[in-house]
Amino acid sequence: MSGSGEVEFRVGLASCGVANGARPVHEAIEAAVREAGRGAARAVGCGGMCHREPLVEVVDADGRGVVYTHVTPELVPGLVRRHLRPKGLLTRARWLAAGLAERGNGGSALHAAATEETSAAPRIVLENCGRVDPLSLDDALAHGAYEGLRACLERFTPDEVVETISASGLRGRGGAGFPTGRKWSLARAQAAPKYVICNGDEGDPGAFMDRLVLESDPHRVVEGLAIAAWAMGAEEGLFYIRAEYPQAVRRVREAIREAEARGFLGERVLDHDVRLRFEVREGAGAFVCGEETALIASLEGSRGMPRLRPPYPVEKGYRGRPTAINNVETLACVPWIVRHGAEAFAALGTDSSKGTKVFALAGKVRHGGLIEVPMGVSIHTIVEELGGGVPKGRTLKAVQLGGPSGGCLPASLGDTPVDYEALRETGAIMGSGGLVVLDDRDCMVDMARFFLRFTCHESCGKCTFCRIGTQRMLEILDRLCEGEGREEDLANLEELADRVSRTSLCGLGQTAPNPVLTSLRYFREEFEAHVQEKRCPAGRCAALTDYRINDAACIGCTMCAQVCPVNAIAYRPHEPHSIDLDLCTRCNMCFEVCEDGAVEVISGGEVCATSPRMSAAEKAS
Amino acid sequence: MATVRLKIDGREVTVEQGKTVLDAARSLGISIPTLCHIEGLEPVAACFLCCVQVEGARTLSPSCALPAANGMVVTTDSDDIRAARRTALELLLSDHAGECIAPCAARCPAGLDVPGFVYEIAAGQNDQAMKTIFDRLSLPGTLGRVCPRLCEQGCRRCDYDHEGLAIGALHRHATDRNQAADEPALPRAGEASGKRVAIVGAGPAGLTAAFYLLQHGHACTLFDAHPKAGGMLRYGIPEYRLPRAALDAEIDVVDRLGATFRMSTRWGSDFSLTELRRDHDAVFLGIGAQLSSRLRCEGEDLAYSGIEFLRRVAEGESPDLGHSVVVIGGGNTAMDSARTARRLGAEVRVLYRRTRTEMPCLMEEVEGAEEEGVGLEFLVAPVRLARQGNGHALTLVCQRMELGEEDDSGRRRPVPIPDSEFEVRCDTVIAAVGQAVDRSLAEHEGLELTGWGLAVDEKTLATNLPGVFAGGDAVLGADLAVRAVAAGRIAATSIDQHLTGQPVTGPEELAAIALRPVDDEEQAAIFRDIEKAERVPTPTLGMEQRLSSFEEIDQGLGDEQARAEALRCLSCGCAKAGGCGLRRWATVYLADPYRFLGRRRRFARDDTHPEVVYEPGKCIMCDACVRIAAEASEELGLSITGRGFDVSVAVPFDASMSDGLRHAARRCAEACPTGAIALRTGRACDLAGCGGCSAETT
Repeated sequence: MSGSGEVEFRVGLASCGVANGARPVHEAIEAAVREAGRGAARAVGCGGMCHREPLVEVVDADGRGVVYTHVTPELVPGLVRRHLRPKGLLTRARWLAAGLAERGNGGSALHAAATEETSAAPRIVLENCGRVDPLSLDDALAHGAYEGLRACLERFTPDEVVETISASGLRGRGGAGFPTGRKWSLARAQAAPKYVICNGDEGDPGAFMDRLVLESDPHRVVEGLAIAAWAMGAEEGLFYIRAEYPQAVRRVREAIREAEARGFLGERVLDHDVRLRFEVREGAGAFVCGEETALIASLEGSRGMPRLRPPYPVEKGYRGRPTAINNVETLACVPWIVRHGAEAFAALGTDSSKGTKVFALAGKVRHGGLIEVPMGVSIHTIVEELGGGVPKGRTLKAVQLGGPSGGCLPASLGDTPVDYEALRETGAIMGSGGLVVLDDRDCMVDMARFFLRFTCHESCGKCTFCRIGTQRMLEILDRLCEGEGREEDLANLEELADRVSRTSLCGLGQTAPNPVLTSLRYFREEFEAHVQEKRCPAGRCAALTDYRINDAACIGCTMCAQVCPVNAIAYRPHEPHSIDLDLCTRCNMCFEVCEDGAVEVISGGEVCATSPRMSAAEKAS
Repeated sequence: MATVRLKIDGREVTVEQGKTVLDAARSLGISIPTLCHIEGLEPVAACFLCCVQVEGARTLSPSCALPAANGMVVTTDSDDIRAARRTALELLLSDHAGECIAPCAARCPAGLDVPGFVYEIAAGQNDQAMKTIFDRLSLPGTLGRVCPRLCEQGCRRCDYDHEGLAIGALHRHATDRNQAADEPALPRAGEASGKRVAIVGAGPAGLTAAFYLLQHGHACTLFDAHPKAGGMLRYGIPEYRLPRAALDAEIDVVDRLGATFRMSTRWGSDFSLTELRRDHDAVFLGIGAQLSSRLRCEGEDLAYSGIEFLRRVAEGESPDLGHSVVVIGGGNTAMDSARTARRLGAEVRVLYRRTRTEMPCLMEEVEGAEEEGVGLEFLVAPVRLARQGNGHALTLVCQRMELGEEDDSGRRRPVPIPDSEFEVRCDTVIAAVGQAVDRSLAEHEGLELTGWGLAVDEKTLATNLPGVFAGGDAVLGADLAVRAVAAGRIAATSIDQHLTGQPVTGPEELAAIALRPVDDEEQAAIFRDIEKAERVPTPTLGMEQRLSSFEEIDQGLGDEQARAEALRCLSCGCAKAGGCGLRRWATVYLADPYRFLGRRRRFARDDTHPEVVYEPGKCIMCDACVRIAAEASEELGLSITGRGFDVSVAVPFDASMSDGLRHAARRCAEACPTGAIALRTGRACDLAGCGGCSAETT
């Protein structure tokens, strides 16, 4: 908001921005603003378009915004000049001259960087992400922080709030989708002392929703946990955040400190007879610690190993006391629901899945990043409209949802809505929000192997099936990808998948076979090709794949020879190239650079992919 | 106290609140297998062997940790549950760097507990050693002399010292010593059951069947066509290998157990199987392989049969062989015939149609024969045998052979070389080219047959006729004495089951897994701290005496030599072989230890603790020791470390086991469901005091 009437330059300084070089951009803007004597440089969190970081959003005095993407420090002076008229006359003259000199070169880059502000979709979780300065409580307050908590204390009873959450239809965003209101009312019925925990142990490879929310809008989550604690009658709350998220840890700690200092937490919350003590605990990064009983064991100082439920943590959890554990995204919805009412939230989504869901969109899409969509939107819409579809020349094959606990959905099921039950029916799961788009060059066996390797490694090692069963499954997939598949492998793989899923104690083991099971369900012929024909239809598995140059198509441009990291392609301009297969490591680089449809990927004697043939105009762009 | 009511396998049960489903099932007498469950300790629910199906649940639940709840409906046994348990066991076994039984014992057809009896010899407990030996072997003195000792080929010393432990010599020694003792340790006859068993054939199979049946209290009558008991041991093995006194002493053991011997009584002429079945409660057929295989060449009737020759010598005859003898064949009978003929004063040549490597007899027999001056010629086969004129002398026409493709036995088939015929002149030809089972009578009496002999169920040795069992050479064709002994024991168990109205299943053989080192590093770990030690040589008879008599060549080990040799034993195998839960349940659930072969734990052995030995390769992550150490307030205790497939139990901070377990070691070893933590007892190398293990304790 630009309540001050000043032009605001918001630079995304969440991990995605920082990793892409947003800090120097932020510094450059600060310098330019200082020089201009007006305008304001703000550090904000992630706006969601991670694939275009560093992002600078400029909000004019009248509140209209424009977003610049892929901003570099060099572009900053021109960018700032476009939106500010410096106070000093001298500076104004100098800027004008620089602007004239620049027109023609740098200007076009700046023009290309500007983009329309996206997303007409309602934002709940990400409402303030990328808008609010995560390190400023004042800025957060200006964006409505703690209004929900205040409303609770001043206008509602705890039972009413629990009822509101129930009525909103909010379900656990960690993946399983347990109704949040039910969990709260179970916890509320338990005797004190009890605990609330924010589960920030986001661990799925490729998922970073919770991280960016914690980094970009920590007060929202703190407020969510505060409302949860108060509604359930808990005085103590814990943030369990993995140590690999140092920025999130730091910002949440800072947010708690500031909130305490200003009376939003502490011995008398907002001058009411309410006590809320929060602290942050860092997890050592074991994936299984996202499982609530393992998380509790970890908090208690033990090795993070799950135990059998029942008893559920809500009856017997941290320190043997009733404990309600909610995921970051779940808690981030809570202040919004309290402020806008259950009906507003329930108005979004499907019969059984309400509100919005944040996804970390990655893989073979043009625009990856964080997206927040209303429940009920189809997978197809997400991929095509929000993700911009798969890059040219490739076709959508499947979408992997829920990471290592989830499964893949073939392109043919693209109409499936984002809905807990609808997704579960396909064998995939909503999961915590990882969404990886796969194209025809992605091998489903290899993909299943990737996720299984992760869970196999992350198993706590307690249950026989999870510890050894996943390893044996992985060995089978390794064999398949290496072209050493055996006749009995698929039957054993299926049997083990079924056993691991039905004979493991916790969610990790029970869901670990999902990527394998769904891949087998929708892409069985691909597994069979690996075993019986030693063929990888996607041309991905190195041991089963050869690369070849089609003489008729090759124009001798040497692009492939230049990128080949092992010099398997001789540098011979204007002659058709050829690949020395003894040297070739099947890295796929030649395939990626060839624009003349000359690189062919061969598996089992069949051409399974040909590099795209581009027109002169396409090449030029 | 509040109670809950639930239904398990269709039966209602009421238990106190807080009890688990496992408790409830056990209160009904329902058996559920467990490995990680330790009575009195907080359950961990790790092994999943105790899994049960709760109605309405998608998953199987670990009953050991599942609180019994009102209205719960539980199934503890179904195809699905059994399959889950079997797969769990197969997975655990696939990651098990251990061996249930020592490689020597695994190779012994009779399953003799080699490290067990050898340890007892080393410890000077000969009576105990005999008990261990008699558990699996009758005739151990005889077998110690004549057995080809597959066990010794399996001995781990072979990979280390080139020569395996002298196992045969050791049980022979123990037996000889026992026989010489004032009060020999001998098995006792069981309380009379009133059942009668007829045993046809008093060879190693029949004698062994009687040996064990008598201990069960069943009366045994042995029928044999020969005048004396012992079968091929007496009539087919020359005295210089097996003195009659040694054999007689062992037959005497069976006699003293109460066997009735009906000698010179022949099946077919003196009795029929039908009569035996009528007069007895069960019959065992251990008739051996008494027929000589034919030479299949012209004039073969002019040749002596090897076993016929040996039998006549054994009965005290001295057949007139003339000056030069040719023995045809490459098996033990050929060697026995050659060396016997040599002792009768003849010049002897052995002709064999393959090469030395393919000879099925013991190499030491070949070496012994050569030492005694027997000539060997390879790749030669007989074509024709004819008498030279009217005299005694014979002409044997032979042809040279070369080795071709492999045949069914895996040996390369000899193929004649064209135009390679040559003549051998001699006075006697002894054909020792194999024996066969006389199948005609068996067939006549309605017994089913195979290509080798009588057809039996492999596990129980039951024939197609109810109450009739068979084993040894009669089933296998000419084979090893130890296999006949093994068969006699199996048949005795089956017959006992048959006589006492139990299901006839044969002896229970526990599932077992072998340790196959994955690489040199692991191999080295197995041999860590082991000192090299050459085999203690056995005194043998001088050559002059050998050729001039039938005195036993192998003089046997003296007491000190035996003890020294026993101390060479590496005590392979698992200290918990008998008490291992993994093995026990793998047996019950028919788990295949090799179904899910893949990467596995590495063999490692931590000898640093004075009371226990820790082998992490055998750990199944049951957490028992970790919980026990914690409960016992061990300062360091044990902890699970690592992640995923590579987890292991270790003392924190890389401290030693002796630091980790200061007072709970014994309890840990007792609770450990496998041999991962085992009390350090019963290892010969401990007796040797090599210091290798204990040196690291400090």
